[in-house]
Amino acid sequence: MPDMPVKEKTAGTENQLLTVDHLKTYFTSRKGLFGRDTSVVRAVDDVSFTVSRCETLGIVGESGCGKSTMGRSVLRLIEPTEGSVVFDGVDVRGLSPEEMRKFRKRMQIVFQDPLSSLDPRYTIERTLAEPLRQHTNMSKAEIHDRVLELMDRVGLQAFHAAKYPHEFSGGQRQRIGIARAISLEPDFIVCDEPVSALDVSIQSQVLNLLRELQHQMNLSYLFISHDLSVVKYISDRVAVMYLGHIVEMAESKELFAHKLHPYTQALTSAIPIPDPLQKKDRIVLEGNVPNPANPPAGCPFHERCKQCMAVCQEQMPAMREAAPGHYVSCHLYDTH
Amino acid sequence: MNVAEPILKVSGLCTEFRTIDGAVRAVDGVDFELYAGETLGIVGESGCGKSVTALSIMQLLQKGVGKVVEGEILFDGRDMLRISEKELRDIRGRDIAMIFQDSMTSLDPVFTIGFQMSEVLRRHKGMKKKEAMAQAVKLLEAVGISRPDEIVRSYPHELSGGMLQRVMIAMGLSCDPRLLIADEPTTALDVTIQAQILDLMSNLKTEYNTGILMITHNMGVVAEVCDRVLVMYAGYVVEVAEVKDLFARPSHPYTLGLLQCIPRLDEDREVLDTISGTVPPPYAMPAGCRFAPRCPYAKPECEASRPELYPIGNGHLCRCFRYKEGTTNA
Repeated sequence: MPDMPVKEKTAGTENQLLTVDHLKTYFTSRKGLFGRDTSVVRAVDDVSFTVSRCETLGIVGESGCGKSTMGRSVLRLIEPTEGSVVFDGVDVRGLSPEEMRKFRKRMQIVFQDPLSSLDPRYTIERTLAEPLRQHTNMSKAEIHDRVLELMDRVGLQAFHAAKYPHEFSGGQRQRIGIARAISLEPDFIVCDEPVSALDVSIQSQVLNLLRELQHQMNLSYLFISHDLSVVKYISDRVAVMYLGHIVEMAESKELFAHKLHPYTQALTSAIPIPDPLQKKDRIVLEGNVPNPANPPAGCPFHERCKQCMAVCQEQMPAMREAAPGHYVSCHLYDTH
Repeated sequence: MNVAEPILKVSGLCTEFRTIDGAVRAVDGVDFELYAGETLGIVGESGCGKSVTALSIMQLLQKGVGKVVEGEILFDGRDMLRISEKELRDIRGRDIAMIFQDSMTSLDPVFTIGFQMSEVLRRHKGMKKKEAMAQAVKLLEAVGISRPDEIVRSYPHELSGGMLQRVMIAMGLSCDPRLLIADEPTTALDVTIQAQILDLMSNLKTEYNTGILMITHNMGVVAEVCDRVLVMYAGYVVEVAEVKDLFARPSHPYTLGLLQCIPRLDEDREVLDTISGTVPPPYAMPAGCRFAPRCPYAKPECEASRPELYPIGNGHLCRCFRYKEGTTNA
């Protein structure tokens, strides 16, 4: 492994690459005869965060919390309902489809399932050449060289170029997905559960590759995962999502050392630690995540919260800075 | 430690599958014993043969495709490979229950939960319809489902993944089985739901003295619920130990690698260790130690011949030439 320099974290706004402000993505679902009854699912409900250059922001939450929808809304792969996404000074939501297409060079995505995100009839060379043909003026020979360089960069060999996706293992396919994402030298990549489908021994290879590429190419990641241990390992900062909201956000070490939100506490205590001698004070949550089409009034977590107060049932808590850089949305930390 | 007879004794199990490239040996020589009230974990990555081992025990391999070609499976002293299909049907669901990773596809979508649960009770316990339905409600209550009298009338698609897995567990336990085989029971679930299910399974083990065979890829789950562990790699067992011993002194290079490459919540690490390369495909297994091509300690000896499971003390076995002399403090 190459040396990993400690990243410099400067707080100024000039270092910010992505600013997401009050982002909302709602889906309308139709039910009943001829879809006469409509209900609105608030998949992402008023989410704000920033990502700096070379930074990894981890997004963690359980299934259905809106983390993938949020990642896609940032890239406008799903059109957000409200709010703003500013990328390097450009309001992404204001771009025309053609401008957006060009802009995608700078914002890429790596998907969870590498097999279904690769065209089964394309060789790897063709898959990797496609973005270069679309977005650059490179000649055929240049493209060929660039493809080989990309493959080398993600740890694939030159003879792999003529093969089809089904001939690869899961880990290799994910490497192809990563090679495609970095082919246009983007600034920012949304990684949507990139290692969840992989075996642990392969998972660590891919995680290390992502880190290595980040340092070589000055990439920023929005790293979405349900696996807290993975998110803790790869992220500089972490945001915890529940039912479409960010409930807590802080630097990775700070967040896991001082878990403030009761949901974060329950979530981390639920993870089995690979050490049979370690004592566990597990907070077992009752029940399931509420239906996002019919969320509870007040705090979205109050029905399952052990520390629920009267105010929680009525009023949605605001996001406040409980410690420097540590944001939490919970009435327990209200200042009176 | 255990003077009682094991409820399950597997020796020299080999299972093959017929493929267009000829016979492929998915499980190649697996031995273990499982006692009442014990949870035995089988841990390993995809394709290591852990699920095929479970299916071999239940005799659920697809006919004409998969077959146990060698070895013996003794359940309660009875040879599972020799008894008739009728006897097998009596044992499955009554004496041995199995829960799968994907509970949604294990339940029939066109029948209610209650109907499917009572079917088991009527078949194995000879209960009448009404009686069986009442029992189903009780069982659902026992696995912590609220509003059980409503749930028995609902269909699988109306329930969440965690609830379906509870239903599967309730169904598995309905006839007080001696052995419960759980194949990745929490892998498809969120962590908070996983915690609920693991707690439930631990309680059941103490309450009913059921033997549990827990198949998982998650070392955290192993540490949490298992008493003893088999680590499998590429079709055979590479390490066997009591759970505390396994984590205190993981000995096989594969086990070591596996533990070191998981990011952990209770640690801060700059760089994750990795196991280089990938698992060999079953049609191109190395002749010697199967882990040798990926092993940092591999010597020429490892590629030439296959190591045995060497005892390294305290019932701890390890399939690695580094322990051949039987040194307990290697």
